[in-house]
Amino acid sequence: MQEAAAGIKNADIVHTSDAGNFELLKDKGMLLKFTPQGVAAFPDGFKDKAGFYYGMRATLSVIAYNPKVISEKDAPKTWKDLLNPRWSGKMVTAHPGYSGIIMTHVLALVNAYGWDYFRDLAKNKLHIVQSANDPAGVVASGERPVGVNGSEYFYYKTLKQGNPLKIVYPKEGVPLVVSPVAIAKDAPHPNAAKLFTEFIFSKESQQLLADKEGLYTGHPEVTYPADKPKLKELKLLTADADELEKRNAEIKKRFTELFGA
Amino acid sequence: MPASQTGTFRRVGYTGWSAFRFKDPTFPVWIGAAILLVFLMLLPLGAIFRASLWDDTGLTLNRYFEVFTNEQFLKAIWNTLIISTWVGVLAVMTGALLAFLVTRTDLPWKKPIRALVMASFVTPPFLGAFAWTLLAGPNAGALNKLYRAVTGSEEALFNIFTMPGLIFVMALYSFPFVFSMIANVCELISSDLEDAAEILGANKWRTAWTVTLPLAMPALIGGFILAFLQSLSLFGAPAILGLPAGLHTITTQIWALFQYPPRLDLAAAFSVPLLLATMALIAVQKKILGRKGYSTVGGKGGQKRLIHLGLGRVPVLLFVFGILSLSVFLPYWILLKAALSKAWAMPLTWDNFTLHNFSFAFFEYGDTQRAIYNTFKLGIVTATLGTLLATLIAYVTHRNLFRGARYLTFFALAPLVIPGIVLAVGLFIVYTRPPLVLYGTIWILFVAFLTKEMPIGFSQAESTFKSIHPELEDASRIIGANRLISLKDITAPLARSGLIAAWSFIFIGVIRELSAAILLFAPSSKVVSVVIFDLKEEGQVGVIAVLGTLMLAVSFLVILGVQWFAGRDVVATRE
Repeated sequence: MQEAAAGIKNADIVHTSDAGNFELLKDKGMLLKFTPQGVAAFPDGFKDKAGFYYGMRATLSVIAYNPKVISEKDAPKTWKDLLNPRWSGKMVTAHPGYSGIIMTHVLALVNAYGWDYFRDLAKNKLHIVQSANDPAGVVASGERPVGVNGSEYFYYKTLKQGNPLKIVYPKEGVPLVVSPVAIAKDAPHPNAAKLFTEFIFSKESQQLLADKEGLYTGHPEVTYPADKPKLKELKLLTADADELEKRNAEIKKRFTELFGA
Repeated sequence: MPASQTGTFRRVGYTGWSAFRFKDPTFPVWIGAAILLVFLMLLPLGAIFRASLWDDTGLTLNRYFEVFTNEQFLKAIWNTLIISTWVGVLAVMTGALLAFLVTRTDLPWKKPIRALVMASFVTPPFLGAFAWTLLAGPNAGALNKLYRAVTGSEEALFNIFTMPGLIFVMALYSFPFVFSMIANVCELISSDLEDAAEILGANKWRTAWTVTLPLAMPALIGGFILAFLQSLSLFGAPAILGLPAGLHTITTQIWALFQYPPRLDLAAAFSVPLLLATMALIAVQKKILGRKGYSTVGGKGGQKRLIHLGLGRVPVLLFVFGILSLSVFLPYWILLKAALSKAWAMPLTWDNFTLHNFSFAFFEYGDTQRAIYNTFKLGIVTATLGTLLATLIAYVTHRNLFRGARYLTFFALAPLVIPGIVLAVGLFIVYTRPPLVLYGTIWILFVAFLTKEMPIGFSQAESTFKSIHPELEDASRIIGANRLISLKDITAPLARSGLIAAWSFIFIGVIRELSAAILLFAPSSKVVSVVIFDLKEEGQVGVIAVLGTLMLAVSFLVILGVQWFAGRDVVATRE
C-alpha cells in the first residue's frame, strides 16, 4: 500500500493473512484476475467469488497451554474458561493490529460473544505480543503458560520440535483464517507470477504446506498428520472479508483500549 | 580568533568576503560539507512536515487534532516522557559516578572496569532487553526461578515487563554514553584549579562543589540530554519490554501506525511536536551553558592527582562490579547459555548442550549470511564517510569559519531528536520517488544510518576540537600554513584518538541499529538486527543468542583492533 501510494511497482504477488486486505486492493483495482487450475474444487471459504484471489493456506486460531505447568485436567477447554480469574497473569495474547489471523480471531469471537468477552478477558492481565506466531514461544518457555489465541500451525510446529505444548480446539468453534494469494495488476513479471500461482496451488505444493508447515489447505486431496483434527471434525468460525475490512479500525481501537497497547 | 580576522591578518586592505575566498582555497570544502548536512537533515524532515500537514484536499491540521485528542497517543507521550526522564537521571548518576571513580580516584582494576563499561556501550539495547526477558520474566526468568527455589515463594522477585523494568534496562545501556563524556572531562580538568581552591582554604567538598562540579557541569547536562534524547528514540527495548505490558511509547506507537492499514500521516504528525520540543530543549541547554565552554588543554599540561579511597576501596569496587554485572555479566551469561543449549531454561548439562543453534543460524536460516554481509558493509562505509563529514562540520562550527556556521550544530544534532523510526518515514517518502529511488537497496539504509549517527560522530568530533585550543592552529597559520595543512599537521594528530573514537562509535551504532532499519529494509537488504527481531517473533531464542553473540564479538574485535591501531584506549581515555 505504501509502495503503491508512492507509485512503485515492485510486487508480483500479494499474500497476507487478512482477507480484508484483498477486498481493499480489489476495490482499488490493484489486483489481476487470474484463476489457477484446480481451485474450482476448493471449498467456499477459499475462493473470491469475483475470481481475483484464492486461499493458498489456512490455519486456525486456537488455545494452547504448557503441560509442564498446567495439568490436562486443569487446562482451559473453551473460550469462556479463559475468563476464569485463576488465569490472571498467566496468559498471553497476540494483537489484531499486527496480525491478520488475530484480526479474524477477534472478529469471530466478537460476533459470537460480543465485546464483553474481551473486556472480561482483559481483566486477567494478559502479556501482549504482536504476531500470531509469537505466543508459541512464550507458552513453551513457561513465561505465560496459556496462549489465548495464536496460529495453530505454528503451535504445532513448536510442539513437533519437542517443546512442552498442548493445543486445545474449543468445541464452541475455532476461527479459521484463510490466507489468500493474488497477482498484482502492475506486476513487473506477470508470467512468472502466473506460473508461481499455478505451482503454489498444485496438489504437491499444497501437500507440502500440510506436511512441512502444519497448515490446512483448500485442496480436497491433501492429507493431514494423524495427530491433527480434520477441518470437517471442527466447528469453524469464519469472518467475512468485507466485514473484516470495514471493522478493521474499530477492532484495533477497541482491543487497544481494553488491553493497553 | 574568528576566521574572518585571520583572513585580513596578513593582507590588510582586502576585506570581507572576497579576501576570504581568495585567501582560503579550502572554503568550498566547508561549504560543501555544510550543504550535504542540510541536505541529509532537511529533506527527510521536510517530508515529515509535509506528510503531516497536507492531504488530498490541501493544507490541514486534522492530523494534529486527531493525535492530540486521542487518549492512546497522549498516554504514549506521557509514558515516553517519564521513561526518558528517569533514564536520563539514572544514566547521569551511574555514568558520572563511575567516570569519577575511574579517573579521579585510586580505585583498583581500572582497565577491566573501562573494558566492561565499553562492553555495556557496545551491547545493543534490544539485545540487552531480550537477555533481561530471559533473566527476569516473572514466570520463566532465570533469576525469578532461582528466587522461588531459594525462598519457596510463589511470587516473582522482579517483573521486567513493567515500566520500572524498562527504565532499568534502558538506563543500563545509556550510562556508558554519559560515562565517556564525563571521563573525558575529568581527565581534562587538571588538579591545578582544585589545588588553587584548596590553597585558598577551601575543604575537599567545597572544592568539589565550587570548582570541579562547575567544570563538569556542561558534560553532566550534556550527558543528561544525550541519554534523554537517546531513550526517546529507542525502539527495540520498549517494543520488547513495554508492549507486552500494554505500555506504548512514542516510537512503538509510530510503529503500530505503520501496521495495516498504515497511517504515515498520523505518524508524521505525531513526531513533529516531539521534534519542536527537543529543539527547545537543546536551545535551553545552549542558553544555560552559554559561555561555560572550557579549553583547559592548551599548550601547557596540568598535573592531576588521585583521591585516595582508603578503606572504601573494596566496597566501592564491589559496587562498581555490581552495576556492571547487571549490564554485562548476567545478560552475556544467559545469552551464551541460550546459544549453547537445546532448551535455554534448563541447566546447561551435557544432555542439554548443542551446537545446532550455530549451524542453524549460519547455514540453515535463510537470511543470515546476506544480513551479516550487509551489516558490515553498511557499518564500514557509514563510519568512514560519517567521521569525515562529522569532523568537517565540527571544525567549521567550532572555528566559526563563516557566518552562521554555528547553526550547523543544530542540523548535526537534529537527528538525535528524530526517532530512527520517524527518520525512516521521512526517508521512505523522499527516496521512493524520483529523482532518487533508493528504496529497495541498502543505500537507503546508508543514508538513514549516516543521518542517524551524525550526532554521535559530531559530538565526539566537537568535544575533541573543543579540547584543542585554536591557539595551536593559529600559530601554524601565522607561520604560513593554510588551513588544511595546519589541520593535517597540527589538529589531526592531536585529534586522532578522538576521531578514531568517533569512527568506532558510528560503526557500532550502525551494526546495532534497529529502529530505522525495521521500516527501510527490503528482502535483499536485511541487516542482522532486523533478522534478530524477526526471530524474536518466531521465538527462536537459541538463534537470537547466536547472532547476538556474533554481533558482540565483532564489535569487541573492532574496538580492540582500533585500540591497537591508535595505541591507546579509544573509549573515554586520554591517558
